Amino acid sequence: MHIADGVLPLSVAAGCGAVSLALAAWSVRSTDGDDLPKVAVVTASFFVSSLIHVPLGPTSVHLLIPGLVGILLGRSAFLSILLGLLLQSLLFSFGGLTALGANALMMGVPALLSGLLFNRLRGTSHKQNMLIGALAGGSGTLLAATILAFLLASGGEDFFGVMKLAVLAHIPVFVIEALVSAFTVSFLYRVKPELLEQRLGVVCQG
Amino acid sequence: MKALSILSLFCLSLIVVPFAAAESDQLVALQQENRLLQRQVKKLEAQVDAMREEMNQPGAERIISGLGYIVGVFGITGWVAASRKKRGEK
Repeated sequence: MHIADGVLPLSVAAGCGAVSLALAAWSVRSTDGDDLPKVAVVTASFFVSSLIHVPLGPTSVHLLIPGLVGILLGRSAFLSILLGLLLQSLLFSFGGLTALGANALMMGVPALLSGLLFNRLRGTSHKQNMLIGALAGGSGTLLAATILAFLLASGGEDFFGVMKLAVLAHIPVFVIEALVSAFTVSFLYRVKPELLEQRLGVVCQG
Repeated sequence: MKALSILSLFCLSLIVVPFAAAESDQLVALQQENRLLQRQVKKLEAQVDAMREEMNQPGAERIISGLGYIVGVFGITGWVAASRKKRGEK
């Protein structure tokens, strides 16, 4: 689920780039300096996770984990995803550089919303954390597929056709991501619950 | 006269037929070779496709360099943040 170069009209690509630049700046401002190691580790996981391919009939799909990034990082998620996608684009040629803004919006906005969802609904019990983790992880990917369809529709494709295709192709991914998120949240809740707290702060307090 | 023409035709066929036979033999051989080559080209094409696919898969060095970038970027950011914090405390 990456948009390549030249798929989107120039105006849409540029607009997405501007919006994601603003979001990235906001994301940097809301990152606590003490959280940087955590952000780095999650960014590295996000960067590598797209290489994990799940064979599915004739094709294969790969993990995206925007939901999990959002759960773990909250507002810092956008920064993490933008950097991860930039490196994926440069090193793995996943998605074009000119479409980086669109790709960042497609993955970053669901990440932010998943983080918000998790933070609001997680509750205090282990089970509740796990369930909301699964919900946030799965819905993050679903939302990313919807945004993908929306962006491609701006390039002249039929929205509902693309959306049906994108959603259908990613049904196993929704399930797998929900499971991965549930497992990760459950593990962290038992081992290091403070990692699930989303702190707010400013990186460069002068 | 008629006998002569039949005889000459016969002689001509004696000369031509072996050539024609040789030609058709050659043709068959060429066709066989052609089929063989086509099969080999197809095999090579499949190999090229497989190689192209393989080249698109990022290797270990790219993955590691990406992780290095991430560590570096966050390392520098953390360093700057920490030094600013220190200066603020002074």
